[in-house]
Amino acid sequence: MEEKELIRELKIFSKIKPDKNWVVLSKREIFKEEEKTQERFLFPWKVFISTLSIITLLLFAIYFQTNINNKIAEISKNLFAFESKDQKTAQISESIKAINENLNKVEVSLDNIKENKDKINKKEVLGITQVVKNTVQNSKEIAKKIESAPDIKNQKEISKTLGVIVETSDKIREKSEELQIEMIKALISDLSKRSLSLEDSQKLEKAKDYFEKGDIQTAIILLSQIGSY
Amino acid sequence: MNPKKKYEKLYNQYLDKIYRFIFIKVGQKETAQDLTHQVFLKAWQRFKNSNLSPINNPSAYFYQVARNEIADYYRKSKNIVPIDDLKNEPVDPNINQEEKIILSNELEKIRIKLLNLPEEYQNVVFLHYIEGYSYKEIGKILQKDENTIRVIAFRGLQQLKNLLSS
Repeated sequence: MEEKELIRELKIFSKIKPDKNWVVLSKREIFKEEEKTQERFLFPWKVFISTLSIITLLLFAIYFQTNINNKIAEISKNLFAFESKDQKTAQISESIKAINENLNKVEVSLDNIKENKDKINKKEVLGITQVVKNTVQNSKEIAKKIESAPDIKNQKEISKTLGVIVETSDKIREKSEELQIEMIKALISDLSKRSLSLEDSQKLEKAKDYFEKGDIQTAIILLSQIGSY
Repeated sequence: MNPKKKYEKLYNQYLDKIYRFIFIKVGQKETAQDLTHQVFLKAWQRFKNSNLSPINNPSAYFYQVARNEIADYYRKSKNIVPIDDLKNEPVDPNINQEEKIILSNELEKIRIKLLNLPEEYQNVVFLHYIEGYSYKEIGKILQKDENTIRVIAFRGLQQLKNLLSS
């Protein structure tokens, strides 16, 4: 083989190129491993403290909701108890005060979660806000039920507290929904950038449809089922 | 520009070259991919800490890491193929169509004969005749004098020609 021919043949090797798909995956892996390393080694205390405060926020929110639900159960029991009117009124009055206090604390927790939303897993935020929404719905319903109970009617102080409960419940529901919409949009945007399995892609498309139609709850359920994201 | 962006630029600039360098040396697509990935992962780990020891000559650095990875691969591999037996080694059946065409018949023969050259000769022939680097650039990559590289390139090509005609 002549020298010139050999040089020409050698030049053909320069056409060898890696697969495009592999290039994308490899690049992603390199920076992913880097992110994992950062998570493990960079600012461990900062991460620990912020994780702790987030867990505290979530626990507080759950604790206050549980309190509310317990009080609601108490009221339901008292409404139909065979006790004197005064006794019943006193017990219910105490329970609704407790609900009101806990609702205020849920609202504060929700505000804190909203402030820290970037540090919390979006799915966790969606889950907790869904529980909050259900809880305030229960509080509102029980408030209306108490208002119409024969022994409670026309009791000014109780009626006033019940009015506040309904108002606070509506406010919390509205805030939770705003936060959910924000989280759903962020989650959809994040997931759209990822390479998903066929099944997960279909769920994502359905979630988008439901979200556009205003069915937030179904959208949340579908998004929560997508992979290990 | 943040370090990640800077590194992505280097990644895009050197990925094909390093992959080619490794592929020609190992002749297997998947091994070439694994080793190339390791090269760029190690380089990124060094790059992000470059305030300790900056990478002044990226091409020299990437090829050096690639050579180390290839050497490690052959050292760790239980089935080390003696260099003379490479002429009988089949080309990886998983290589893509483009690579298959390139490495068919005559070119595969050239690749195997190239691997029969001393390592330094292989590298200079690869960098000059395949990648098109100048003697001066290769000198910087391999940390050798430009004239030495010129001599190695000439001898490498002659030896390769002789091996192919023998």
